[in-house]
Amino acid sequence: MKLSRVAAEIRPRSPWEAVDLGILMARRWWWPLTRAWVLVALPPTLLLHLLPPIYLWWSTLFMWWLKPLWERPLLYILSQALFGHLPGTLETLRACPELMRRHWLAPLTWLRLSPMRSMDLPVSQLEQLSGAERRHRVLVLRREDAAPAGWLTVIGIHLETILAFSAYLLIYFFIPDEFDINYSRLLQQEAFWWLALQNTIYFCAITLVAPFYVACGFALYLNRRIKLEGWDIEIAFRRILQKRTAAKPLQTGAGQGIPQNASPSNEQTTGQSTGQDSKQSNDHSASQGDEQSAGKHPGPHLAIAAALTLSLALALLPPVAQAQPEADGEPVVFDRTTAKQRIGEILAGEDFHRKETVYTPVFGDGTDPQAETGTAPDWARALLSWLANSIETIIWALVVALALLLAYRYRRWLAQLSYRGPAPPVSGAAPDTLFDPAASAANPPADAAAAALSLWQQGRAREAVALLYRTALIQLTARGLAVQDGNTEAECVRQVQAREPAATAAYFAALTQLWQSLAYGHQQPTDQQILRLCEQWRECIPQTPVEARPR
Amino acid sequence: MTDTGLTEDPIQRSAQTVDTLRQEIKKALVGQDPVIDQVLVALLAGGHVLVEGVPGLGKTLLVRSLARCFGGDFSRVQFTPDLMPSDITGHAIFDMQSQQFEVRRGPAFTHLLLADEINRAPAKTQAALLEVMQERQITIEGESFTTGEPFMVLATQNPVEQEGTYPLPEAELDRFMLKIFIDYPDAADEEILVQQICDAADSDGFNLGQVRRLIEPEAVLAIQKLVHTVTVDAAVLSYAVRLARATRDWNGIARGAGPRASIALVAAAKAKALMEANAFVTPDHIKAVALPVLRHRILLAAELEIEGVSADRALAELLEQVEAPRQ
Repeated sequence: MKLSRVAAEIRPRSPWEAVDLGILMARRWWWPLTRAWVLVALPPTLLLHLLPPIYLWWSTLFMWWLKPLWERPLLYILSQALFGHLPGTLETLRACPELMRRHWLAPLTWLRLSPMRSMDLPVSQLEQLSGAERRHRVLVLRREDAAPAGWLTVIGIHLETILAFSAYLLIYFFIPDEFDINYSRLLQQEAFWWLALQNTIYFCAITLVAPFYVACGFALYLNRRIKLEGWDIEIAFRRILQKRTAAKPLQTGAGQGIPQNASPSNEQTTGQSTGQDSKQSNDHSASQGDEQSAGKHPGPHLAIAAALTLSLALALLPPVAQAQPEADGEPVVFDRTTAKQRIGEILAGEDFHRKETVYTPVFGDGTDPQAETGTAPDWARALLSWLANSIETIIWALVVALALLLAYRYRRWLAQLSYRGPAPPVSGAAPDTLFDPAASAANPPADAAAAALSLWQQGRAREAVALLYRTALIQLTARGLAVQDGNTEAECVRQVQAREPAATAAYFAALTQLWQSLAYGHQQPTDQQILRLCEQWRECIPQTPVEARPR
Repeated sequence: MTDTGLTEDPIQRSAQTVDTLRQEIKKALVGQDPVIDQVLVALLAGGHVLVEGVPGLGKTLLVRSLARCFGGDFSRVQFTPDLMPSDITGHAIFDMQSQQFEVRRGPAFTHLLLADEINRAPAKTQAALLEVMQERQITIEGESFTTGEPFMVLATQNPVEQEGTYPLPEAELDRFMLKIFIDYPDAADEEILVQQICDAADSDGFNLGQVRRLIEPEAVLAIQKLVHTVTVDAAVLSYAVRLARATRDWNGIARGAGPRASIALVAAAKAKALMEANAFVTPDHIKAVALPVLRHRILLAAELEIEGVSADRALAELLEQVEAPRQ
């Protein structure tokens, strides 16, 4: 890794400033990134359209699902370009199989929904960590400044949605009003062209968003490492070292132990060095605190660690060293134990510690037990407790009373709520008030025709026709005729016509007509009409045993 | 109620006359049969109607063809915010030559008055019209003049453009016997309608050429008198009253219909019975006219208004549940 060649300024940034850096990176290398994305993502997208039309809607899901793999070439380009080498298209495409083959299962399965994807991707791809190591490393990186990574995902989803809808609207606005398109049907249908249009728009949206998403995640990752591993300090030390080396050869024993070309010899030229370098820096950070994962291959990097320690000594110790006796201006040489002690003191000092006072509200029984056993007498505490309980009871009573009052106040409104439900199903049973209570007090006789004829002969015309009409309705109701409270005679006739044989329906219609003329028009029926009705009674009105209904 | 002793002949004859009127109007106004029926009910019962529907569905055509059928006069007043009461009733003007006040009668002196978009005029003008509807006479400069006989007002409202309108108060809505919804004709009827208008020789936009004058205004008055003789049994009367009263304490109806609704129900049902050549009113007649009679006289509860429940739906439920007389 050539820190001196880094295209961006290396300094600790606030997390959102790092996101800004990501945006700048994406803008600077937008075309290479987009080109790589299209070359990698477009062929599988087109292949997905070979699915049968009924499964075509799966293609959108697949596109979304494969995004973590398609983002890898972008990170490859970014990681190289940042350190001064912008890989060509062919080089990127050649690297793709290797990039996608490694550690592909987790990102496509249980890590697919992780909102921190953009920041975690470099850990898998550049540091090439997996399993517990990766988890540990990710935890270390996420410990600070990781919140924007989650927001990046949220913003990305919204951007994609907005872009997609904008595209739909754009198309919609270009459709002339003369075209009468049924949009609600369009949205429901599964025509190939419609699904293909959806996929095209979605692909364009993710193509626009992906470079920025990956770059911002990478910038967050970089920023975290700059802070963890002190890249800016390292660069400053290198400059000091170079300055001093140029001024005069190092005279200290420790200085003589360091090869002059140690730094250049460790500089690597590939983007993957970022990953290897992280392992080295892990060791470095292990000595300073707990923010590290155990590095396994420290070997060749010991020299740079030594150089850093020396630089640290050079940079920090002079003021301390001035307190030491310096006879002839020679630098003070510490022995190992003293140096360790001094380092320990410095690390224990204020510069390496930060004190924060945090106030947290404590709920529940957070009272100090000592305060309770204070000077207050028992009777006072009992009184207070009683008072508190009483007030609580009163408040609850007030709440209940208020609820009851509101329910009473709005009782009409509450009663109207019952109106809203669907109408109760119409039951086959006749309503209780099928007839006038006075008229239906008696149960229908076994032979209604004979009874009606008898009444007619006694001159009780209205009762005779009423008996026939009532009995006919009872018989038909027993056969399943559903008569509601609000049904009029004509509605009963229509129902009978719909469900009974023609002869029965015709007879019932004639009977109803006669009944209405008598009841409402006060027109007396003729003998002939009554006789005909009584004669046709048995054959036209089916006789069903009817249970006596209590009124 | 007792039998009036009428023979069925005049009723049947009148029913036939009304049927020919209906057929004649149908020649001009295609695809609006229920509307024609309800307007005829109101005419025979001596009531006024409030017609609600979007413009261009033949409201003017209906009135003109009806007027032409029975040889009545017809006036149309487009209600606007600056319309004055005297623009409807008429006014007295000083004649310089004769040095006397001369009464100029307004458009209300007619048989059929089409008050177009009545809710666009302010309350003062609406009240003047409603007074004419109720009294059937107009007083100008202290002198009373009667309107034409028969006299019917057909007021229209546009349901879609409510901005800048003066909605009729409930008390005034009550004066209308029926509120009729006029809707778009179906496709087949519309085709016939367009064909007829396009083939018509007169290009006044109305297909009135084929509507003949069948009767005189006096004949309408005679039929109106006959309607009064139609028998109404106590049970049927009670049913009408129960319907109107049920609206007053029905869930979902904030304010129910008044006694005028019961009267209108029976009067309209009588006309309906006569149109069906019945000498007596049955509960079916009451039920048939219940929706147009009641729909503008009730005020739905706010909850139902918000839910978009129409007055017709609430009334349909009421009609289902109020017990009909089946004796």
